[in-house]
Order: sequence, then structure tokens, then C-alpha cells
Amino acid sequence: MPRCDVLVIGSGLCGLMAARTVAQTGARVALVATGAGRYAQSPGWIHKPTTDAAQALQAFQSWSAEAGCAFATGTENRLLLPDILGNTEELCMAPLRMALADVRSAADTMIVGIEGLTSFDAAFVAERLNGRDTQYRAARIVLPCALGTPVTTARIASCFDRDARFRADLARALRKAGSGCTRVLMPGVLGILSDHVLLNEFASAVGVELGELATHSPSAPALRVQQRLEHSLARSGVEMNCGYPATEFLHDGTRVIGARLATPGNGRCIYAQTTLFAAGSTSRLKASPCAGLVVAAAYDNTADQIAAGMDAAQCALQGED
Amino acid sequence: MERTQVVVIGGGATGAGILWDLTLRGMDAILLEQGDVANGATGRCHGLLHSGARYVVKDQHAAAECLAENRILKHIAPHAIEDGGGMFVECTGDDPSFSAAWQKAAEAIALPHTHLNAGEARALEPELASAIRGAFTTPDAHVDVFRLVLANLEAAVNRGARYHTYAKVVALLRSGDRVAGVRCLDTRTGEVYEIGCEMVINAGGGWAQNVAAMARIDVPVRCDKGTLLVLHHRLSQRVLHRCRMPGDADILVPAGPVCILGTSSMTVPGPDGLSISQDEINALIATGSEMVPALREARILRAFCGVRPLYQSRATASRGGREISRGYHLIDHAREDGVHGFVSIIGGKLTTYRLMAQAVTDHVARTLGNSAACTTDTTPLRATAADTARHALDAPLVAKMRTRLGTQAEQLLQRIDQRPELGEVVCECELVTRAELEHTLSTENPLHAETIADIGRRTRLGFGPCQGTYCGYKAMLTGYHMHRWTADQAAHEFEQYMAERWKGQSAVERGKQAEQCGISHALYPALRSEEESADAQV
Repeated sequence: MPRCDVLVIGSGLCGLMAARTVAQTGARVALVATGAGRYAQSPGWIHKPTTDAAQALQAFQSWSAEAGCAFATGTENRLLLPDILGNTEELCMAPLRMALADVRSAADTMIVGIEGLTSFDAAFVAERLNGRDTQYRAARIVLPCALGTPVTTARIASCFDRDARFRADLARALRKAGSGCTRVLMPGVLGILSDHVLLNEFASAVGVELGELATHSPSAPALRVQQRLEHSLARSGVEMNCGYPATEFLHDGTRVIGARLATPGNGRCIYAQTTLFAAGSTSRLKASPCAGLVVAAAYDNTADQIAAGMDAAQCALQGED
Repeated sequence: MERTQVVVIGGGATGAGILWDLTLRGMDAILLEQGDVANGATGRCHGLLHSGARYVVKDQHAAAECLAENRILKHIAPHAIEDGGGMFVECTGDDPSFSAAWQKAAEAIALPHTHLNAGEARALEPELASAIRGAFTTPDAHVDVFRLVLANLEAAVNRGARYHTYAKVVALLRSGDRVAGVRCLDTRTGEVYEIGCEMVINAGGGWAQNVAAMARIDVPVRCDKGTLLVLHHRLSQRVLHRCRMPGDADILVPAGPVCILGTSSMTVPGPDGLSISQDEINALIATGSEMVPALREARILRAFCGVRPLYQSRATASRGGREISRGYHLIDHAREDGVHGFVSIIGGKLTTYRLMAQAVTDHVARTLGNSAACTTDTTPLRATAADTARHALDAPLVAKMRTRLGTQAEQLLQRIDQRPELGEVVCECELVTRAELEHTLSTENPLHAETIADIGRRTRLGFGPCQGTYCGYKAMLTGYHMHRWTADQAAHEFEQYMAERWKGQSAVERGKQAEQCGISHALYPALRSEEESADAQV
């Protein structure tokens, strides 16, 4: 029966990186996942690693640029970005638009909130950040289309994706709100399907440096990265099966030869030379390394997850289980 | 110096009940609570309104008291009670002679019950194990403990009583052999002030010993810890109780969208600094799943514990926690210790709080020369709200608001009609609107919240699966927006709130809840607290 070389279980940062690393060698890869994983529900940053991740992070950075969701590493190779409580986080890298919110910037900044988006308060963030050298001001814009109240980041992002008129009107409103400043920071709502080309065009229409701030879930920038990376994998030939969890490993004797998905009916089986488990603690599957099965190390740290994905992929390629 | 007739120390069910009873009888009183309402045992229990069925074999007198109070509370505070009824389940393996003894004892105190066979029981409660012999229905119910305490306080305040939260009594003022007042510390501002009075009532629960010590009196309180779990989702419609001698993990109480499993019993040195071990959690699930197998797979939202403050006379000092009577004891320090103007009330159960309050107030009234009789058994805690016009909100939302707020709901519904953005549902799990959130934070509201956790106790915001990750944040922004807090204060407030929410979840991080915790931690990275689980409020 049709078989792939490597079956990757999990589409968080670890699984995505593992799939990418294997796919680059030309091997046949299938990826299965229930949902998008924890990264897609996080603000979207990549933290400073606790393990040796330099090589993996470099590979990730070039991949994300190629996929249309470039990451930036900031001045002195670090970023200082505000979180939703107005605390500053030191990070390794972040999506380009988010990296522009670095608190070390000397720019005269306007933080812009959106009427109806009650999970973000521009005045709150500005007041929190105003202990430091730069002065932050706050403003609020009314959305150019009637989305009703309250509105979520997901709905605004969806509108941004679908409606060019909305984007034009939004750029105009931001331009007005940011006049007299050199930088505008707004909650991350600039679409989920958008790529950096579209965002650069949008930013030029606004006319000043335009950065995205971390928001409460759902975080559009993180979902955007997830979308772009999954797209990139699909374009490079990875068979993407998202939506159903893997519920059991398939065995031939003691060797793992694939996994069964919880699809309707008997559950679809996917067979692979090597199965790579990268689904962390949220999967119901209990995975311990054995013949045919590589288990990626599970971390909470995003950078470590990327490195673990690359490591696991290398194990799988070498035929080590 | 502020003056009053009576100072009540302790804002749990007992203290609140006493404040209401005193006020109804025309006595002037102030209640002082060191934390927020229901800070101690009241806020850390099942929320079970006993029918007496649990005690009927071991202690018929206690059971009869429970049964009577069960009826009274359903009459005076129906808005705080989910009267779904209860089921005493005979599991195979449980002693059949206990069932027979139970039935006989239930008949003796006229506890309403009917027997169901296994099939009938499981038809009503599909999550029951297949290995059951049958069940008895009982009038047990779930009571929202915060709503109950707040109802007593609100009713008292509306008639002129006063109460202060975050007010810690640090000394008793003496005048010879009398207690003449208290010295109090506002734990949020650091201000110290004094209140003069004729009588001090020590309703401090687990802290009663500390309060009595301020008069150099030893009141023996044994702190018995019970651990409980909050699980998603509502696995039963009724209170499910194991039909056997009272033991661990034999009660499951449905509480809105969740259910609460408990409990255990172990002696601890005091009410503070408690922790929960993984073994305790596993033991609760193991025993509970004998009655309801789905508990094994259910998502545990959080673990919490509290202490039962049990009266320990010298005679019972050597017995275990469950052996000591759950009855209450009124200690008249004038008679026992020669200290006038000071009484302590120890022990008791949530279900009989009103009876305890009555006993204390009877004594205090006599001492102060007040001859009014107790009417708390017949006086509803809240005037019933007339059903008025339809509103822009969905019916279930409106119904929930009316249950929580009573007559206040109409005012808020009108505000929402005028400003639709106030109809935003901030907490999806408990259907808390922005209007209600602002009302809870408004300093014009005599029961207003000081912290985000206080908001939770008044509206149940944050009690569902997200444990405050989303709604707590919006609540924080609302407090900032209403100028209750500066941005820095608001951020600090939220940090403290999340730290407490995480403490209760760190012990139960597995499966879906682990995922939720992961999301929560990613959103607030600066707040990662230590991994050890300490005591946490629901």
C-alpha cells in the first residue's frame, strides 16, 4: 500500500520544522495534526532558546522568509517587545511586523486601538510603556466597516483578508491617527492570509513605520505564520492532513509502521518507513521511542521546539529510532 | 473612633448570617473580614446543600437539622440554589446492610426519598457506573456559596448594617474584664483604625483560634483539610452521593457548567499555607470513578482545598477528623473565661449556617437586652423581581442576570438597551455581560469588588474552563477604564489574579487543561509562577 518515508504527527513549531527538514531532502513526507498547535494560539514570538538551537533557528528564519512570513532578530540580536500586560519580553525573534514594536526604538510612537475591540486598550499599553525614555501616545480608530460590537481580532483579520476596500479605508484611518508620529503600533489584526508583500504595500499606504502588537488569542500574526508555513510545506509536496488526531500507532511486530487517524468510519491508516511524533503533551498518544518511531523532545520554549523538530528529523533521516 | 453595638469577625456564611440576623432584630453591627467574602471554609467546599441524607445513619439529630435548614434555605434564598435534587447511589461492593440502615433512618426523620432500581437510576443519570444496585432520590442541591453569603450581606447592608472586606482584626480592645472594641488593619491601604462596641462575635472559622488568642483565650480548633476538584463538564444533573459510611470522594456536585468532586480529610496545623499532592488528586479520581467512570477521562479544571474548622473539646482530641462532630459550639467567654463582651462560634456546616447564626444572635440579643425573636427562617433574603419587558439580550442571558442580581438586573438591562455595547458577553462560560462587570466594579455598589478574584466570586467570571485567561483580562481592562486602577495597578492586579488561578491548575495539568494552561502561560510569560501547588480558591 502507498507509503511515505516519514509521517510527522503534530503541526506545532516542532512538527512543522521536522516536516520541512525532511522534505528538503526530497523524501516523501506526510503530516497529520488535529489542529494548529500551541504556537498558533500564542502571541507569535520565538523565545530565546535554552538548548543549542542556533543552526535550527537560522534554518527557520530562512524558511519563513521564503514562505512569505519573514522573522526579524532585532538590534544586538535580540528583541524587546511589549506583551498584553505592558510587560517587556526579551525575545529571540518575531514576525517582521511585530519586531517593529521594539521598545528600544527612539521613534515617536502612536499606539492605536480599535473601537469595539475590547480585548485591547491602547491607553493602557501606552501608560504601561511610558516609564521608559520614549513617549507613547494613544488613539482609537473606528473601523471602516460595520462589524458590530464587540469585535474580535479574528473578525477584523478576516475582513482584512477578504476586502481590499476595507484595507484601503483602514490604511487611511491609521495614517490620520498616526500623523505627527514616526511609528504606529496597533493590535495584530492585519490578516491571516496576508504575506509580507501585501503587508509592505499596506504599510506604505499608512505612510509611517507600522508595527503589530501582541494581542489576546486569537493572534493574527501567529496564525498568519502558521498558514504560511503550512502552505509552504504543501507547495513542496508534503501531504497535509489537518483536522483529525492520530489515535494509535500501527505496528508490525514491535516496529511502528504508521498511525491511524480518527477519521469517520474505521479511521484512515497512514503507513510510513519512519513515524516522527512531534505532538507534545496535548496528544492522547503515548509515544516512547522504539523501532520505526522517533519521538521529538518536548519543550515549552518555542526556539527549543524548532531545534527539537530539526533534531528529530535528522534522526529519522539517518534511520535511527 | 467608629462605634457600633456588635462587631462580627469573619465574612463566611456564619458571620454573614449573624450580621443579617442582628440587623433584622434591630441591632447595629459591623462585619470585618480579612480577605474577601467566603474567604475560608465557606468558599472552599462543594457548595452542597445537604438534605441530611449523608448523616442520617451516623447522627440523626444532625441530619434532621440539615433537612429543616435545607427547606428553609430553599425558601429564603432560591436564587442561590440549583435545586436539582440528589441521588444516593448503591454501588456494588458497598455494604448492602448500610442501605437498609439508611432507609430506616431516613424514614425516621421523614427525609423524602424514593428507591430506584439500577435501570431507572441510570436512565436519569447516564454517567453512573453500570455496576450499581440502585439509588435513592433525596432533596440535596447545589448552593452558590458566594451568592448565598453576598445575599446575607446585601440584605443586611440594605437595612443599615456595615461590612468591610480586606479588614484584618489585629487586636481586641480591653476595658478591665470586658472586650470594648477591636483594632483593625486595612490590608490594602495599611490604615489602622479602631471600632468600639458592646459585643465582639468571633466567627473566624479556621482563624477563630487566632482571634481568641487576642484575648489570651485558648479556643481549640482542629483544622481538617479537604481537597476538591473542579471538572469539565457537568457530568450529572443531580448531586450524586455514595450510599455508604461517609468517606473520601463520595460526593459529586453539579455546579453550572462544571461539577465538583470531593472530598478528603486530613488534619493540618492551620488554614494557611496548604498544598495539594498529586496522590490526593489521583485518589479522588480513583474513588470517584467507581461511581461515575467518566471522571477518569474528564478534564480537571483546577484543584482546591479548604479546612473544616472543627471544634475539638478535650474529650475528642485524640479522634480523627471525621469522628469529631460536625456540630457547632457557642462559647460564652464571659462564663468560661471571665472575659465579657466576647463570644466565639466554632464548627458547624454550611447547610446549617443560619441555625448557628440564630443560636449566636439569640445569646447576644439576650445579653444586650434585645427581645426581638429570630425571623431569618421566614424572611426572604431578596425581594422577588417582577418580570418585566423583553430586552435585546437572549433569554438565557437575561435569566442568568436576574438570578444573580435580583431587582438590580432591571436597571442593568435598561442600561444595555440604551448602550448595546454593554451587552457584550465578557465571560462566555457564566454569561457575564459588560454591564454586570461594570456594576460589580462600581464603587457606588455597596458590594463592589476590590480585586479581579472578588469579581469572580460575585459573578462566577473565570470559574469555567479558561480559568480567567480571557475574561479576567477583559475584567482588568474594565477596571482600568473605570479608573479603579492605574495601568500599573491593573497589571499588578492581573498578575496576582493569574498566579492564583494557575496555582489551582498546576496540580491538574494534563490533557486539555494542560493545553489551556499552555495558552495561558504563553500569553502572560512574565507571570510564570513556581510549579509547586499551594492552596487556591475556586
